[in-house]
Amino acid sequence: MKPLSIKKWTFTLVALKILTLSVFLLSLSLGGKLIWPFGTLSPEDHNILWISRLPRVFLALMTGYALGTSGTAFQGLLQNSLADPYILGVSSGAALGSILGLAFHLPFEMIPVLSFASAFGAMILVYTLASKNKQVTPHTLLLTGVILNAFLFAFILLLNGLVSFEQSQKIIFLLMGNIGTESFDKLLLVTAFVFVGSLFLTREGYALNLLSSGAESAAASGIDVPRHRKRIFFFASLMIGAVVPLAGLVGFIGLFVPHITRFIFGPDHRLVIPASGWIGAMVLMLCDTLARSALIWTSYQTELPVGAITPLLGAPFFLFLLKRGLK
Amino acid sequence: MTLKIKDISYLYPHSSQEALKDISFEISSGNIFGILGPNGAGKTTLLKILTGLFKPSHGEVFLEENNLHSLSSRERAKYMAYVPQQEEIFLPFSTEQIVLMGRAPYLGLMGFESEQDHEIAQQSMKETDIWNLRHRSLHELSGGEKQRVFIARALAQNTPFLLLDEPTAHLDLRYQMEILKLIVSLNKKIIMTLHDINLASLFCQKIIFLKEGHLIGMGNPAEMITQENIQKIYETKVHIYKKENASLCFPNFS
Repeated sequence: MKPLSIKKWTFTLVALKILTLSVFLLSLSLGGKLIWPFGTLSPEDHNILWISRLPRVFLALMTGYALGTSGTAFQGLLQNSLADPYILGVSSGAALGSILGLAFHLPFEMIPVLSFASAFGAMILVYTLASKNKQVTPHTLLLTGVILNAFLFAFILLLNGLVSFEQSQKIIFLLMGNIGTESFDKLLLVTAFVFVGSLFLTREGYALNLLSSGAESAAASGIDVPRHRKRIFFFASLMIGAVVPLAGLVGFIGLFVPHITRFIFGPDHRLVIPASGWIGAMVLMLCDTLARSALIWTSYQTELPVGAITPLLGAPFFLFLLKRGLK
Repeated sequence: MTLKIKDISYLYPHSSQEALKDISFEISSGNIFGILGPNGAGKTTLLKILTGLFKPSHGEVFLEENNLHSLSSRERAKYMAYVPQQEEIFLPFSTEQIVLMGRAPYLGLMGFESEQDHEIAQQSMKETDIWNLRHRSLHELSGGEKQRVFIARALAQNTPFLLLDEPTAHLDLRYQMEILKLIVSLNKKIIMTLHDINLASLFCQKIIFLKEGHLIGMGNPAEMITQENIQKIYETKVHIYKKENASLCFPNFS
């Protein structure tokens, strides 16, 4: 693999953005009814396309981007090929925050903030609990994540028992992972969070290259390791905190998208951080399109939650990695 | 460039016993400096303090007039390059990518390397004889080759000092000699920890002995490697043989 040049970086990212736009338009057209977004539309098609599908496809894009990028950042920083926001408990942290917001009837603007705060808290907690003498081993980290996940889930279930039926319905959707139609002001807020997070995480790409080759070498090369670690935790949690209140716990995207991206583009995080975002966005838009259209030819007039699709792809992949040897 | 170590002590967190106690010495003349001592003597701790990775609990390290530990990590990395003991690199970076990482202290925000950075990396790969391995992933290389890659990365950092932690550990005899010959051929001030007293005797111009965190002595290998010193420091009886300028020691079996 040749070293990365600015030219290759720019070219690849432009190409990925064009590709993402194509997948976006494709996802917009597909579904219960095939609608081509260019051309004159009947009022009914217009409603389906712009009011019901557009926000949904857009949310899939944002969520996929956030999960892909933050998964890459976690794997590089923790030098662990099985790390992802879901497994580490960051997503559950975000879910708990969102559900608390829901249970206490907070206005929506507050919920991503609360969700981010508890995602960041969960990340710091897992890292601190897993570290011993400033060393974190992959096994301990994953086990700590699993345990925290179980703990947070218990909390969520407890809350679920206390709230109204309507709220409980929402909680179930959140836990399943579900991309639904959301209002544009909610999406705007989420986009702002994801945008800021992606900007700062992309800036951390070079530091992540050094960090993924060992904290000690990174420090000796002039990297302020604790500062970069905190920044990466912070901005990855920011992105997760933003998307979880709307999309819920969509698993495995943050695990396998980084692997696919590194497989295609090599290990350089300056490129892989943004690239895994765009690939994650494409994968999740396609998964959601599948979730929307999988049952249309059957007599069930319903949709699958996207949270049921991603593990179908992700779980075998996880097992494959586990078999191949945990690093 | 002179490195002055003044009254250094180091206490690890959650430990009650100091790993280093009141260490003072100066590195001025001589290019190859060895840190020796038994396991747990504090060799690596001392080396990590000199790289700036650890901040001493007490005492200071001066680089000419500057306190090493009040420099920013980026500034410090322009003076001190560090080759850790064999380390695992998680992702399959190519040799060239790893060596280019040595340019980190000189790069801008996004870390894109200039033409000049590429030239410096190329030169250090040629100096360490790994130019033909540049497209290979580090995961495919042998122990000796990996060690060369890490040395090349440190060279690309373009520092007056090069610090190495046990550069010959895990290497067979041929690679041990290759690596040490390479190290002494570099035009740098070298500070390294070594387990092997005889290799230190052959390659170092000055050595210090540490035991249980204390500095036992400092001098050239011929005057430091004596029967009394070795017995006191390693608690092992040895014979000393003089060969050319080197003092070589062998354990006494009887």
